[in-house]
Parts: sequence; structure tokens; C-alpha cells
Amino acid sequence: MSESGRFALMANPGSRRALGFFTACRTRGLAEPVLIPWEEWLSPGYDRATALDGIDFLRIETPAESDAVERRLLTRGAAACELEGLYPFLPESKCAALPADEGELRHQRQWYLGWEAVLGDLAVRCESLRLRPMNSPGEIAVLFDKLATRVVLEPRGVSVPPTLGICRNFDDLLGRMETAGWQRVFLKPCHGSSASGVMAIARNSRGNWLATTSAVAVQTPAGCRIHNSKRLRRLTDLKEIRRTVDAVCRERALAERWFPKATLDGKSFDLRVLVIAGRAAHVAVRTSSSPVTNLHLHNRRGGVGDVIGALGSATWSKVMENAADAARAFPGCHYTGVDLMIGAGGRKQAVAEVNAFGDLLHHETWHGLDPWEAELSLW
Amino acid sequence: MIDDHLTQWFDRPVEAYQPGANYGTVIQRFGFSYDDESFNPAVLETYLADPRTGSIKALVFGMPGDAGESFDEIIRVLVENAPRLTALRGLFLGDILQEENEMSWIEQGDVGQLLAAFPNLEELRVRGGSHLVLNPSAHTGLLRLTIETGGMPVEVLRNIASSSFPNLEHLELWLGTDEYGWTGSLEDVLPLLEVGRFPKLKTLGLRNSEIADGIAKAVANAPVLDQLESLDLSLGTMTDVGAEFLIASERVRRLAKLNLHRNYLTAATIPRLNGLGPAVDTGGQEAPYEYSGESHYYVAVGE
Repeated sequence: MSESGRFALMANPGSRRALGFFTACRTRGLAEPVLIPWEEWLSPGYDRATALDGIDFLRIETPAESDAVERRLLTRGAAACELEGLYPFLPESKCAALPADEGELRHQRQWYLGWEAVLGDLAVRCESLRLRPMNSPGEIAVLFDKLATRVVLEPRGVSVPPTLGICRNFDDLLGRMETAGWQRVFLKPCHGSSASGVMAIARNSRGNWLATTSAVAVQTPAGCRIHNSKRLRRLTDLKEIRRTVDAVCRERALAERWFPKATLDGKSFDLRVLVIAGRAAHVAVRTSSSPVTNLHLHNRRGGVGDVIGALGSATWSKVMENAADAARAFPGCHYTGVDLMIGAGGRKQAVAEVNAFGDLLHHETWHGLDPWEAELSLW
Repeated sequence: MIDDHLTQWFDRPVEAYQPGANYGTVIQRFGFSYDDESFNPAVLETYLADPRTGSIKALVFGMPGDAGESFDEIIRVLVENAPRLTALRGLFLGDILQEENEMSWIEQGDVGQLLAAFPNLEELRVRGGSHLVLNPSAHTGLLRLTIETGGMPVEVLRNIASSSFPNLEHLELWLGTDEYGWTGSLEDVLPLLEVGRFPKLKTLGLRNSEIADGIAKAVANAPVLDQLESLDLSLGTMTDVGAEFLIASERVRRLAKLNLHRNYLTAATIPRLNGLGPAVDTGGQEAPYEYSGESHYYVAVGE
């Protein structure tokens, strides 16, 4: 592989991700990448036919966190969403007028169908222009669907928690839990990112329920909406849990069995492992006093050294190997961020997620390289 | 350390029970888990229906089931088999990790029945305070008693204080928070600190408490400290206010060990504690959670 050649970067301009990649290219003496803002790429009048001329490599970054891009992706997904007929549908005529997002969980299926179409189009272009993507658009689409990701991982023997499949609503989830005999599950929006909409749900035989989540169900005249709070909340009122589960399920949600995670000094943790070219590189430890460990929820970064010390180096090597195995299930991706859970007591492991854009670990280094530099050095 | 099930007890390894089991050299751990859903009280009955039952030194129990079943059945089976468990010295009810079940959801039972049925018991460990019953008891064999809860029912605390455990060396109580079942106050803790209550006591733990500052103040000059080697006030909500009483106490200086792990002590106070004399654990301190202009303090294990 070689670093020489010109990169195009599809991203939202000004994002830390875009900045990080530009800086890394400069540090490594590469030509400045051609920045293609998502908003422009998705504009009807944009000259897509020539925009990628003279480009050798394509780096695709997340389109998230831009209202304008969200509106365009929803527009793109409208027809497919209407045709599918299973999830909330926003007609094309209303997409452009969608108000700015203030942490709402909304129209995720339609968004995904638009995103999938855009990635499909990029896959065709890469093929016909003989342009090598850093992460394959087709695999990115798979990684943005948690059910599809499992379907790739499981047959390869990658350990993932058992699943109850896609649940339609609370009653459906409850029925599936009873059939399986499970008392504790995680409910995850299939197309969500980070902890958005994730619920850790437990119940017992005395009718007690407990859900830990950042999701807040808000009643509006138009129905129940989900907002993401920056704090994790503990819900014990069954009515509120039911309402929240119903609303999360409307965004297409997958239930998995609660995998009892290891705790270190009373705090549960998991690992984000950046795997580059099949090698486990940067690692972040995410700790929490609750079962949901994502970092943006005021959870703390833990010490990698503490975890290595606690697990022992033999187990640690196995953990890194398992992360790399999960990543290798997506050979078209040069880099992915694997979220790995260590089982209670430190014995078992399971993959919680594989993230196509899981390299925003700018606090971590590997052989002195930040994630972007490391990705380029192994390219 | 990765928090784990008990792995070693009475100088023996503790291992998950498997049929064809061990009676002498390994302590068996029974319970329902993510990896093994086969446990029910009948499994225990089968294990105990064996002539080698007389050589069992200790027994460890995890989750009685997956749905919050109580320890009542396990206690019943143990009491029924007590005449044959002649060598039994240790019982642990509730070797359950935070991610397996919330501590406040663990349904205990009447553990006092076990003290009555096993006069030679040396160590009783209990995790979980919900429906926990322990009537005033008299037990001359008991050396170590540990009860971990996210919220201790005040009756249990009062009954321990009015029990007769003349040989008790280690008493460890996790008091918890009123959100999860703590119904007591400092007045209920004070009787434990009276001299002569437990004449052989060497280690006292009042952990995971939301009244840690009050306890620190009360315990700092309690004469009972003169007989203690180790005082454990960890995992609670102690602030520098409580720590000042410990720092000012001559009695605290004479302890061998002082555990203040995971409280709310600040960097200004920690070095002064470390210099007191005892081996002091001041690791893992938390900062209060600021929300709506107020500072919130939490015990380590509430839920």
C-alpha cells in the first residue's frame, strides 16, 4: 500500500474529524486532501460527475451533526421509506423544512435509507473511477445497521450477545423476553450512533422494572418524541418505561441480551479499540457507574494500564485479537472502532458494536501516532 | 482489580459448581448465571444428599434465579441439611456482581435461621438488603460477619447491636442510602461503637454510607477504637468535614489500618490523612456531581 496519491475527504467542514485528517496529511507530507462537504455533494446542482477527477483515494467521514445534511439525507430516503411502510415517514416536501435537531431521536430509518442510497452511489463511483476508498461505502452501510452487522459477525465466530431481533414495541419486547426467559436486555436503535436511544432494561419477578437510558420520552401533540439527555436517567415507572420503549422501537430497535460487563473498582467499563489494517491500535477505556458506558454521557475515560494490569497480559492479548477479528469481518474497511465488552469477572468477551467512524480517539496515541496519522502510516 | 466473584475462601479455591462435584478441597459456588442457567434449589439438594457432605467447609451462593427469586429456598435447604453439614464454617449468600443484578434487587431471606442452625459457623457473608431478616442472635462461634446492602433495614442494624457475638472479630456493614432501603440514622449506629458490645472486635467496617460524615465524627473519639486494628469507612459520602474529625483524633492515629477509599475527600485533605500514622487508603475519591446549582453526593453502591 502507499500513501502517495491524492485523497478526497467527504465530511462536514470544520468538524474535528476533518481537521484531524487534514493535519495528519500535512504532518506526513501528503498533498492536501480535496474537501468535499456533504452538503454540497448532496445538493441537486452539484457537479458530481467531475468532483472526483484526479482523486486516488476517498475517505468518507460521518455526515452527522449537520441539520442541512440531515434534511438532504431524509429527502434522499423518502421514497424508500414510504415504500417500506414500517417506520415514520416524512414526505419529501416536508424534509427541507425540518427544524434544527436539538438532540431528538427522529426519522432514523428514513435517514438510514437515504444514507444507504448515497453510499451505494459512492460504491459505484469508486468502482468506475478506480478510486480506492479507505472504508468501503458498502461496508459502511452494513455497519450503520446493527442487525446487518451481527449477521456478518456471527457466522465468523465473533462473540456477540444473543439477540431477540427487532422489536415493534414494548409488548413485543416483553413477549420476546418471556419466550426467551430473559430478564435483562439492551435495546438499541439499529441506526443510532453512540448511546443515543440505548436502553438497559431489567425486570424481576415481583414486577419491578429498571431502565437506564439517556432517552427522555416527551409527549407532544404529534405523539411521543424521544430526546437524548446528556445525563443517564434511571426509570422505574413502568408506564414511562413502556412509553420510552415504544418510542425507541418506532426508530427500528434491536434487543440483545444484557451481557454482564466487568467492573473495575465498582465501575463498569468497555473498550473502544481502533483496528487499522487488521491490527489493534489505539484503545480507549470507557467507564461508568451505570451499564451504559459511552463517553459523551459525562462518563469518564479510564486508564488502559489499569485494565491491562487487572486482566493480565495474556487475556489482554486475546482481547486485542478478538477486536481485530471483529474488524477483519469488514475487509473493505481500512479502520474501524470496535466496542468490546469484557464479561463480569474478566472471563468472557463480546462485541457490542463495530463503528465505521470509530476513530475519533484524539486523546490516544499508538507508537506516538494519533489515529489519523496511524491510519495513513498503514495505508 | 476486576471485580469478581469470590475466588478464594478458607484457603481453598472457590469454583462454579459442576455435577460430579467436589466436596473437600474446592468450595462450590451455586447460582444462576449468564453462562449457566441450570441452577435451582434441587441442584443444591442433590449435592447435599451425599455422604461426603460432612466434609464441606463452606458454600457460596450467587443468584437463586434469573427473576429476582429470594434466598428463602436456599436457606430452607441449608437448615434442613444442617445436621449433616458438620464441618461447615462459612456461608456466603449473594455472591452477585453489580452487572448481574442490582444490589437492591437481591431478595434475601431470614439469615438468622442460619446462625441458629449452624452453631459452628465462623463466617457469614450476605449481599443484598431487600427482605433481609436477622433477629437478635446469640452465637459463640461467629468470627466474621459481613452484610453488604445498598440500603440496610434499620431492624437488621438494631438486631445486630443487640445480638451476642462474644468472639466476633470482623464486623462489616454496608449501610447504603435511604433511596434503596436505609431506614436508620446515626443513633442506630452508635450502639455498635459501645465498648463491650463485641469484646473481641478488631475490624469494623461501616461502609457505603450516606451518613459517613456523621459516622466519622461519632467514631473518631469512640473508646472502641482502642481495641480495633482496622477501621473501614470507605465507599460512602465522606467529605473533608468528616475527615477533619479523624485527623484530630488521637485514637485514629493508633489504628493499623484506615480505609477511606472512594469518598469525597479533596486533594488538600488527602496528604494529611496519609500522614496520620495508620496505613490509609485514600484512593478512588469522587467529586460531587453539580446539577442545578447543587452538589450531589452518592454512595458507591446504591441501586
